[in-house]
Amino acid sequence: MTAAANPGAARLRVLGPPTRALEDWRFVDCSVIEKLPGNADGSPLEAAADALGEQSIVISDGAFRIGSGFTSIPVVWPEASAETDHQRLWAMGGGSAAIRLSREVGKVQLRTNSSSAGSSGWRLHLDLVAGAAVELRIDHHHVPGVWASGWLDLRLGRGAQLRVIERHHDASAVSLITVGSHLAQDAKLTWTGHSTGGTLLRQRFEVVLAEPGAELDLALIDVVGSGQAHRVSRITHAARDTCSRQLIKAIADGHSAVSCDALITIRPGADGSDAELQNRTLVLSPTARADTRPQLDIHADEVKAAHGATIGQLAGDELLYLRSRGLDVVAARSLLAQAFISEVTSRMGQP
Amino acid sequence: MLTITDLSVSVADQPILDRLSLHVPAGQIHALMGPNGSGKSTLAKTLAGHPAYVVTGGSVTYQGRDLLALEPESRVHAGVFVGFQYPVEVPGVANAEFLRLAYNAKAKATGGKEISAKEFAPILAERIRQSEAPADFDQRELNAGMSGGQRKRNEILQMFVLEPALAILDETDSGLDIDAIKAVARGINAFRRADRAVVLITHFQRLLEMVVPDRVHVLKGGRIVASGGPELATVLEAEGYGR
Repeated sequence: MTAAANPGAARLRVLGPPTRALEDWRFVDCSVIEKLPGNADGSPLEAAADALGEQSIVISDGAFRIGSGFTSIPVVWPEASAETDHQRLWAMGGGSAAIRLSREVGKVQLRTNSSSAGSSGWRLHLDLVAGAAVELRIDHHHVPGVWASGWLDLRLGRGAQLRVIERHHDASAVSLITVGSHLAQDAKLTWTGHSTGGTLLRQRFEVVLAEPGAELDLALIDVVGSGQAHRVSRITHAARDTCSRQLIKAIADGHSAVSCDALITIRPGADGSDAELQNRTLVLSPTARADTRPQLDIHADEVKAAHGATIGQLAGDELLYLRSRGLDVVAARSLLAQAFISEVTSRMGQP
Repeated sequence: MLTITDLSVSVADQPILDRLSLHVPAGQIHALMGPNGSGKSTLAKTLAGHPAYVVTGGSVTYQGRDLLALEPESRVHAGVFVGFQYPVEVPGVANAEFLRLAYNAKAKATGGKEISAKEFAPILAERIRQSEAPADFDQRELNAGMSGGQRKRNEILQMFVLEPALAILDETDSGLDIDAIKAVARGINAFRRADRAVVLITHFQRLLEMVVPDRVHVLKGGRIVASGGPELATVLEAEGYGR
């Protein structure tokens, strides 16, 4: 793929790299991006030839391998424009695919591999037909030092149910993932994600609950010992009687930085909406940093909307209680951290 | 077993215990009674090693060792158990796994064998039976979702799992219904042994009718102001602490 093949390249050159001065990137230490090769145009490698499951999708350095159990569909991706953000522009620097998930599809595996010395981008559109019920397991693997940007675009038809279990496996890469979702009537998206951060992990969710009865249940946990993990969510209640639940948790240790930047918008006419956001962060080290920005933007009258954010240390009373039963400080801290994590990971089931 | 001599303790620079002295020999149960704010729970938390409770004077000797020099976990390993008045909830921690970790921590510190969950299961089942704890306590989270009374019963279960030589039970009877008090009383009586001692902190004579103490002490203003036999509890019930 050449530079000309990346429709976002020209726009990226105009934009330059993101900085903290951009409202959307205010919590991110962007210097790590500048230190990487930064080949925004991408160079997808040849796909590996190992076995591929019927209902598996493997994206290796921007190149797709798609199992035989899927139906590809044509899709027109948006052009790069002044509104297209950095993550999407970078994602344009690799391959793309669009797949329809029928009612017959039960479980789908998506694996992304980033192994080249440069960057890789990818775009994947998944279209769940009305009434489909799909479990999607996503595993992101990166070798140290790579830079990958992905854009997952989800369309859930009427009554479709999608349960996503996502794991970011490596902590020493720049991984920038955008998830755009559009939910039709009575569709439900359940997303549970776990990461150990990254040199820079930034994941942005843009979910539109477009029709009545649409529902989102988002639960994320980042356990970061070094590096960064940033979660951005933009949830829009665009129709009445829609529901969103967000539980965004993080543990920041060492010199790490974590953040949650969440905005819930309830549009005019979306009465009966029910939105809840909880952001809870444990800071275990005096050199770790945590930021939170929960926001509500409500334009309807008859709604329920709640948000809460806590950033704190392990509770002294809990620590003492465990120690008073014989656990040493290290074991007590570990147990409490595990308990904090398990609220999310218990939803993930066995890998 | 336990000798407290002229113990003074402050919390946030506020003196609570004032030269308190108490001796509890092995094989005995001592009841500690007193009005609210007299320092009963302060004594329990100090003996547990709570860092907010600052010892400003005096000494505590347990089986000939300086108890105050030990970290909280080392006190447990040495055989001291404090049952708290308000046990904290720890959501996400399975009660059975926590009890196994506590059991193993003590075993490791005392040269015993650490055991697997499978090996621990029958031990826990036996301790639940001995302490008359609800049968589902091995399926619960650590105090999370438990009523106040259930948490107290979980404290008693923990005591049976850890098998201390000295138990300090801070208002273990508060928040319990009458059947639960009877069960807890039976548990404490079953725990009673010639090589063990119990300090029973309570407001009410009701528990002491079921667990007859060897000695009763009245704590007021941070000091022991009266001591006597079990009959003292009856007098206090009739006359209050005002005399």
